[in-house]
Amino acid sequence: MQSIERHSKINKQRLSNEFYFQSLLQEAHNQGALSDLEIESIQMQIIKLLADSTEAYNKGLSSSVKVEVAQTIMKSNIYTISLYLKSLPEPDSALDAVKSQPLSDLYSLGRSMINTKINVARYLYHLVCKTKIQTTNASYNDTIGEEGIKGFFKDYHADYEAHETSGSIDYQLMHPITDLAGVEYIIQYLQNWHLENLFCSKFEPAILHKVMCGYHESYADLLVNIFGQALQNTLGCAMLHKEILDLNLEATDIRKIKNDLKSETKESILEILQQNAATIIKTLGITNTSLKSYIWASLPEIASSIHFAIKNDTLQKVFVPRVNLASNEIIQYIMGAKTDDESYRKIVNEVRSCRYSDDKIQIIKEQFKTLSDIEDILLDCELEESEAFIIFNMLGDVEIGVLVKRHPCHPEINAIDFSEAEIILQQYLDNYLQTMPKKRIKEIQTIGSNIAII
Amino acid sequence: MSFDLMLFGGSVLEKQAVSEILEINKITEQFGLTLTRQQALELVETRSYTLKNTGRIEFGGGVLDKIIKSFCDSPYISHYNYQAILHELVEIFYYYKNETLDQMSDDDLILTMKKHFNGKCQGSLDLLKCRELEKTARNLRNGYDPEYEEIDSPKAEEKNNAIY
Repeated sequence: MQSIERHSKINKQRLSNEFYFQSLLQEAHNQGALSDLEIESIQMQIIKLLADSTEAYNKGLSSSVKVEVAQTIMKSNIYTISLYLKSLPEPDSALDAVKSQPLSDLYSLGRSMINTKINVARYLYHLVCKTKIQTTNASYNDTIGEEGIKGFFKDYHADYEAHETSGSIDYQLMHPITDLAGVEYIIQYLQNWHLENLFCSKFEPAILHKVMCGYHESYADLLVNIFGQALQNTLGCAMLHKEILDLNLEATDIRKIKNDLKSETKESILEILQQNAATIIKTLGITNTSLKSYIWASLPEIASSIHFAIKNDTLQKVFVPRVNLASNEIIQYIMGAKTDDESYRKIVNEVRSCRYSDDKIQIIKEQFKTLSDIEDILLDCELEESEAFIIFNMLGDVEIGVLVKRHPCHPEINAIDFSEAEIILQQYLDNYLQTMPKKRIKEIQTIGSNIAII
Repeated sequence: MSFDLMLFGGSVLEKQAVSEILEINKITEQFGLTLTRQQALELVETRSYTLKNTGRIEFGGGVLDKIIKSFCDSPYISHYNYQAILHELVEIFYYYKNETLDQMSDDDLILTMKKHFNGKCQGSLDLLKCRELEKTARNLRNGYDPEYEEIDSPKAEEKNNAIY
């Protein structure tokens, strides 16, 4: 039996997700469902709503605002109304609501929905943090940290800038979100990221690191998606019936995949990927339906890139060989929190005013516990070389390795690239290393080259 | 569907503002100052023009009535210059709303304008605009008290000490 669907005047496909209210009115007006008079009345209501919001924004102290501010507030109001209208089952119900209820009521309903959505976003952020993978990729770590998505929860103004997506989001997901804004964008982003984390957490972080190093040695500084690369390698392993969890593809394996797929069309490659994806889902024991759909939705793009790569002989960029860093295990070093500016300034002034080196060292020993503070002190306190050496002696090889990595001595580089304090610190470190036995210098250099500073 | 702010015309709002100004005639006539309907309309047009020029938007009656009520008792305003001064004051007001980065409320800005106009400027709009309010705006932008004096004189020092 065929299901009965309600005939709708408004085509849902034509409505924008980001500008829902505007597109709904446009479409309704085009279809004759809204008269000019009704449109005018809606515009007047929007202005009334804007006037009220502007008054609240100015706290009644000013009767005028800059046009840009008013435009932002109006966009925010329209976004909030859209949010409520989108929650209604059909565009027709949304249009009925616009016609029958005052816009201020729709705004209030949307506003309370934003509060709920912020809580949802908070919960999803918690899940993302919980499933965070160990990686040295800076965009991944920064986006999850204080400066990233967490900034959204601090800076989001639901009353006047509900449509803005505050917070710094650098990490690139497999499926970029293009048609959402504000808290809706954040929710979708976090949902996708959580699913990607769930998939990546099936693998050893060290293996993922090797795969990503195979993609590019300095992947830590690139805007790359880890899930996408992991999935591609998993598919490669599945095609060759290799152990999926190892994500290990040799150059010969990649050549074999190329030979196997070179006569296939994009559609047939997609079919092959779908068969292998089913195997992967089964092998990895993935039961989460959303994650299954997410993997499924990633396949067409991967199929397309494989097809393109075979044509251009660049398949080693899609299925990457693992770069074995067994002898160079990466050490993650956390520099630690910095002392707040005011206290730091006081201590620096105190150190600088000391006449004897012993007093300076004593203060530094007592006041600073993290390497980031020690580094700042070495740069700011204009210490003598002997005083700097005493501080270096207090540090272990790893800490010295970190400092050497951050302040390598570059006599060949023009001194203009560095501040005077930096050049002095570089020289002190270089001179300090010269006082050590060669074996220890080599050890410190090895540590320095294998360390990832956070 | 466009929601350009400039589309929302002000013919209704203008009429409302004109009647509000004419209402204030009842207060200002005791000082020998009144505006005709035509003059009130011109003042409202100046406001719209200035708002557009300064990139601002205003809802409701606005500040015209506040400016008129505040300045009508000034010793430097007579029925000969009343209308011209009001036009200038409206322009100065919106210009300095921007220059003070909206850090001053309407009432505070009008009060400052009145204090300087009747005080140091002795009725000179040029001095008000180019010297006193400029100084106030600069102080606010630099995070000082609006009354802060930069001039290196014992009086200024005394005044600054009193402020802080």
